[in-house]
Amino acid sequence: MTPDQRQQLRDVLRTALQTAVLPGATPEAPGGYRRTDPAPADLTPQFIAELTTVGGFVHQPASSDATAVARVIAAIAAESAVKRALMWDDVCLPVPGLAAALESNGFTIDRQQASDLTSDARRAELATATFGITGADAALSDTGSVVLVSGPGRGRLASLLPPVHVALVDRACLLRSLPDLLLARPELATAGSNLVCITGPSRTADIEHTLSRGVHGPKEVHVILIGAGHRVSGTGDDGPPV
Amino acid sequence: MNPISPLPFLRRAEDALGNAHLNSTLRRVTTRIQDSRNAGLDRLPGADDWRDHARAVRAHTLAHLDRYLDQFVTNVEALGGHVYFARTAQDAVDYVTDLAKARGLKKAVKSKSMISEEIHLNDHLERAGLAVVETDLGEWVVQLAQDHPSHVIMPIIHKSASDVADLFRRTLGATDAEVADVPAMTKLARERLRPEFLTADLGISGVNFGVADTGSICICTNEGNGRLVTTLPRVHVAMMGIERLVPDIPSLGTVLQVLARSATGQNLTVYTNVITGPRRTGEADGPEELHVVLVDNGRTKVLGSTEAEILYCIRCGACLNACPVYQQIGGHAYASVYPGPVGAVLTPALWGQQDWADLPHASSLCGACREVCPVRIDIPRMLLNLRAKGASEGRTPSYITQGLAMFRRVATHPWLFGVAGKMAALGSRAIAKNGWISRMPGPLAGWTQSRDFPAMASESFQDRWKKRTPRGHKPGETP
Repeated sequence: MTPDQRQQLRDVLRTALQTAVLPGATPEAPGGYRRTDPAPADLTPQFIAELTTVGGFVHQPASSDATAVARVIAAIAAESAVKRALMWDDVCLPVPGLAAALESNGFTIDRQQASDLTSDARRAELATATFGITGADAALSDTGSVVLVSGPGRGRLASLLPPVHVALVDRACLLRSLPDLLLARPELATAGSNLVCITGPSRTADIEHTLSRGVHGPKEVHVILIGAGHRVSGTGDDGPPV
Repeated sequence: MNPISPLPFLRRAEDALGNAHLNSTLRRVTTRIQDSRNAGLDRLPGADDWRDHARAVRAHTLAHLDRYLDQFVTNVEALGGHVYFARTAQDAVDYVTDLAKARGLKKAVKSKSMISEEIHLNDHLERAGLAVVETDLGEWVVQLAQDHPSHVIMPIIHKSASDVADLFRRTLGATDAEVADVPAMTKLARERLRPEFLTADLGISGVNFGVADTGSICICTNEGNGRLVTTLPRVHVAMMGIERLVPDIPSLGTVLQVLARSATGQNLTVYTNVITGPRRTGEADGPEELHVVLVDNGRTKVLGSTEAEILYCIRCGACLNACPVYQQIGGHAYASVYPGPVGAVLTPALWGQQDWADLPHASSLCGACREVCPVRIDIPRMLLNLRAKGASEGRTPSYITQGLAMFRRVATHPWLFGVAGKMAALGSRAIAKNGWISRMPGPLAGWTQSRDFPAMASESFQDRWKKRTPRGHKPGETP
């Protein structure tokens, strides 16, 4: 923005604000709302219930090693003729060695590269993936959501282009809600160029408010819960229960 | 902007009321979506507190908009993004078309943006030689039908599933199987639009909220098109009304908590997408360039007025669904990109009462809009205010001024009132059908232009009063 434009913006706003009628405006910024309702001891059951309600699936393998997780993904893909997975880098996933384990289950693995979007052929190729496999930075029990922050090795397209999205979620990153997350960890929102909170499969209700799934994003969303259970205790001194 | 129809509001409303297909579609959908909205808020513990807080966030932000916009601009630019302040609709479209020319951009994919409807961005881009593809299912239907959206979040609420099926057959050559039901039509949209996403070099989105202290923009969609549009093309242009700001990330969480619940009844939209600057070093996707176009187009005028509170609006559409007027006539009758109760205030406040004098009268002042508003905007107060302004500017229709003068004369002379009442009782019953008069004679016709009048009772109140039986006393007995 040119300095002139910037000054114009300031000037028109200051002039307008002199006569603005704004009921309820406070001089201090209200900040985010701090909820007072008590948190359940275990967030997992609600997370499962909410994600199921919006049409997603939750899997809880007995073991979190690559073989067990790959077996779950293979079962999800059982009826797929094409097993082509667009995957986050291994270091960005909570399951070491998953790519190799998937390959031995018949999957072809594709990874996003920084140069991908400059080539039309490569864009078309990315769109042929049938599974997108990602980690998650948080999962939210109130809404059944998973939160993904972009970064090197953590492309946005893996959770967007393929018809099936599989998110590997460490139980330790379960929180209650998006407002709780943004209140407790606002820095997460700007850690990459993109934070996306995904609540179930892509859907539309544009035609007669009738629900239909899988418009432009994935038609199926699977969450695989990894790691030991995590319990949230009551309110601490350092903030609200999240 | 200009009205989308040259007809006066009452004619448009009359046409809408005469359209049985539209009425039944609207009734079905507004009922369904209101039930969803109520359930969505019922599921939220302390919903009223969340709403109060969301209102406080919006009110505070607007009261300090100069500071927060300044901060927002600084932060977007620090991230490598560009910000342009468009004073008018023309400034905004010029900026985007010039940018497209300068970068040699050929094809734009768009996610839903009311502000681009407001400034007719598509028309201008197409005239400049760009291909423009709407990718929200509803907006795509609107584009194919060369229609206008009739709701802020459900653009084709006026169309039935069979309307859309017919449109797809006609414009896309779709087979019967491809339009058999809503899921089939959804699949068709995915198949037809996917190649457009992959080949577009310009992505255009709206903005639900900008965040001042981080320079982030938040875009909420259900279909995933909002993510594709802001991830695949090499240039992303975000069109944003100057009022759509919150101070910080925690405040964003608060407004998001009430937005989707009030809009569709969902806990959250499927994709709540927070974008902070263009693609960063080492990232594999996201646009190379990000441009945020801050659009004024009348908003600073609204901010400086008694209608500034309407800018608290977070565009959930709940007031449209709850409004008994909107439920009957739908969005097109308002002839504005912003219909319903919010539009009846926002439209004349933004673009003057000259062209939009009748919109503040498109309400029974029942208060349902204020009741459902997630940020508790007092829409009836502002409707009354705008009516008063219209009256003081001499915009009151003559049938109202003349009619009221006549009524004043009758009502302030008891004998005249009695005689007029008797005559009206006889006359009204003579012309009524089923107890209602849809057109009164002579100068009284103005009253029935937009409402029916009931036939009057055969016996007046005065007569009944004279014959009354005082409680506890027999007739004729002195109390």
